[in-house]
Amino acid sequence: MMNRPIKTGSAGTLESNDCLVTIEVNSDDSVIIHLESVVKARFGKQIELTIKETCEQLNLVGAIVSVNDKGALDFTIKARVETAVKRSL
Amino acid sequence: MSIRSALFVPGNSAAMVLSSPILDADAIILDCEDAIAMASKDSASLLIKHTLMHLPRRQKQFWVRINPLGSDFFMEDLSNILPSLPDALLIPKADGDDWDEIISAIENIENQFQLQPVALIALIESAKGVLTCEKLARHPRTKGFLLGGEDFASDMGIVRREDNRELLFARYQLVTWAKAFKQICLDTPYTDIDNLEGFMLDCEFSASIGFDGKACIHPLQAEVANEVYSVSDTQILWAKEVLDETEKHSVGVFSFKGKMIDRPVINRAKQIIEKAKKWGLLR
Repeated sequence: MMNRPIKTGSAGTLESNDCLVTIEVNSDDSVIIHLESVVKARFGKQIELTIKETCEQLNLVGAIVSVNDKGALDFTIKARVETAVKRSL
Repeated sequence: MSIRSALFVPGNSAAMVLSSPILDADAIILDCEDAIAMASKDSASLLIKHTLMHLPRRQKQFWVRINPLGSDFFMEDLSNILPSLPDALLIPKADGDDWDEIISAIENIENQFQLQPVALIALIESAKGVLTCEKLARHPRTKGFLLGGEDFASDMGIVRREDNRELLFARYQLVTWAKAFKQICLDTPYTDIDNLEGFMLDCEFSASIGFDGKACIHPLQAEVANEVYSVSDTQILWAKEVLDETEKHSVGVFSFKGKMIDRPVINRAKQIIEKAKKWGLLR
């Protein structure tokens, strides 16, 4: 079953080692990822991959996923994305 | 299970959760309950789930305090956290009336995901919990107790003084039932985090009546608890001498340094050596 957001949902913080994730409704079925990160130059691709894989595991469609990363590790990003997605449904 | 210090860490703080493996506590209690605002309960539960699934954690135990039975978050906590294999679940507001229902809910999820039974620590924090802890102690799924002094005092309508004399009955009752069934028993947190001397005195008293360790709310408390609930070099030396002497005597009772040594004393010496081995204190 696909999960399509019906409202804006967010999770996380802008504190060190955390990230703030916001899920918004997209006008089509695609999932668009926007990433801001203090370590984007070095780890941006890896972080985007983690976000993408987490969205796929959650069967997310029709969403704009914005992540403001303050040095979160993979498991924190996964947790915040999952929380934000569930809050957007 | 041998725990001298169990440190509460708010389950929704990414930075604190991330740093918890390097803190000086035998167990970390990732908290979904009192430390977490209602609006963040879902977030904490999922952060703990993903942390336990990914953090290397064999140097110390990771427990999770879930939300209580009857709350909106109890089942969600169990579904998120049990499959991520915590070393123990700390069950708040535990008492004899609800224990079977709580265990039934846990076992349903364990069966669903084909999990090994998780260790269950009962957090006793009510008058009813203290009076019905016998039922919990006798239950095969119970692995230990933790006394929650603040909630207990609130339930009793009393205020704790610095020496915690108001908790005397609860402490003796809980630790005696725990020991009767070979379970771990941890003492209540000491809430004045700036008073390490008072914390140490509180630990020394609870250690003297049989508590194995202390719940902590600051990393500095964990360092003190590890020392107080541990065994000293003097105790280890005494225990080694007693066991050496025991091997030289074929009789059940003998005199050593002017003191009678018999079976209970020899057992005590063995317990000290066992604890010293567990905590890497034997040289």
